[in-house]
Amino acid sequence: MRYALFVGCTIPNRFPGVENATRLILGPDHLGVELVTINEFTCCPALPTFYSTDRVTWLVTAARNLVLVQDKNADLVTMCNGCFSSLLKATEELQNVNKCNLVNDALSTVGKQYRGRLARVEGHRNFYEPVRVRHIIEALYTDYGKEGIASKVRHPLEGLRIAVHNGCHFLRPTTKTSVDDPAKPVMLDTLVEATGATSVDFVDKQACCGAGGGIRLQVPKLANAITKDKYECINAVGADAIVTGCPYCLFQFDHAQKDLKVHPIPVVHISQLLALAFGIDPEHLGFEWHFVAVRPFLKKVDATGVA
Amino acid sequence: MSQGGAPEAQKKRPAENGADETKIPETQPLIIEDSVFTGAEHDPDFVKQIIRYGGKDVQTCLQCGNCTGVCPVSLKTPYKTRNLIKLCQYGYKRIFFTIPWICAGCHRCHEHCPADINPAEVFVAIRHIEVRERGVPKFIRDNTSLILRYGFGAIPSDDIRRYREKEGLDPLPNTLPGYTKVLKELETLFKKTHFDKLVGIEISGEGEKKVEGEK
Repeated sequence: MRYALFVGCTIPNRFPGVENATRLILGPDHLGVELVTINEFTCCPALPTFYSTDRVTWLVTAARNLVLVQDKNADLVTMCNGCFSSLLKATEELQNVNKCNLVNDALSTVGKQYRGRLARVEGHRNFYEPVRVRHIIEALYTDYGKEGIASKVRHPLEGLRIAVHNGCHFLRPTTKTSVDDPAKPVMLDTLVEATGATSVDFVDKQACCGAGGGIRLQVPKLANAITKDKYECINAVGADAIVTGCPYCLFQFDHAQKDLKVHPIPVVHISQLLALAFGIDPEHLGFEWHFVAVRPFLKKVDATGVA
Repeated sequence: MSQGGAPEAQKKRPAENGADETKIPETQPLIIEDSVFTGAEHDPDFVKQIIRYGGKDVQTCLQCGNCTGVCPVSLKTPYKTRNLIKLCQYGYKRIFFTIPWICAGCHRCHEHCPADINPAEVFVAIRHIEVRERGVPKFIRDNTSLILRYGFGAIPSDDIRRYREKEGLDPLPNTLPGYTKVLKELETLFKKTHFDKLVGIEISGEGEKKVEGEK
């Protein structure tokens, strides 16, 4: 397996621990994935900025990122729902010949061309397939499965109650390339269960965190009001931590809990949770950058190890 | 609404609306059943315009209200998805220019729409129209200039930079010497698609970006 990690904007600059956790779990000591480094990536670009103002610019910028991966024989893997949604949507739109020609016309000014990844060669003809854009949740679920992940767990998190927040852009909109069932998603829950922890059920589990679409930037109060509803549903069932696959949802849950002055529930990224279960030292997982203290959760994790 | 809406909307978006945060009215100015609209707000081409910018035909909306029921924003503000789609059907374009961009893009409305309209995409189309007729909100311009400067929408604090070094994480791509070439590429692409003019950012030849209103 070859993954080209697309870390995006929020993870390396706000939650570097998530990036470190992902590199550690994918590294040779644990899952042993071959990582391809690409240093010419830019912003995915963000949907509320580019997709809302000019679809052509959005598609051209996204295609530029995809071009960098197409000849590397690797899957583009991201740890962010925003990047995932933006780039997946782009691969889908680039299937349209007219749009693809329009994009390639623009890309030719910088000496690039989007073809997709070489799928097979028949005689003298090359057949291409879209660049495969994947979310870390889907990649681990599909490539390793519950057993594959569980076999790497050295520190089972038995007895911990985890509230799972998939985040909107991992699931929706439903299209041909959707990876999980938007009504009853299983992937993130399965990964959490693979660590030995329990994924708790709660009301309105697929609700939005409230940050997306530029709401957090423009009207933080509204974003927090939306988060509060979801927080109350989670708090009602008594979760030890909230686990999400999206750094922006993480940011929102973290910030909103501080702003709302509620009983804090630690929020961690799925990569960080898996890293804890794989027995990686929490010192390397960058929990100091989270606003809600993760220490109480780490104490509970330690307690499970002793038993 | 009918009195105040039109002249307010005709004003161009101010170049810099400062640090004051977007206000959401607490009352319900948008219960369209109770409002009287004058012809000034009406635009017969609005439905066609939405289709041109990638939205679906809003005339097929059944007004069932499923979208409002699942919308996180409708729950907390006076802006109800079903009402907004009704306003689209009537062609009340200018009213949208007074509404902040607060669709979360969560696409729950799309999942529950029996007519397969996808209101979230309709709002994206309306944003396209608004940008072309009234200019862009400040946060879009700020974000674009960040991306033109650094390639990404965020930059690390010194502490985070130190942490990355300590943990031996790869240096951020935009700190590597070869990255200026990437930024040049972005500039060329944005110029090619005329995004710089749309957003109001001046891209001069030698990597100097001047943001409108910046001294």
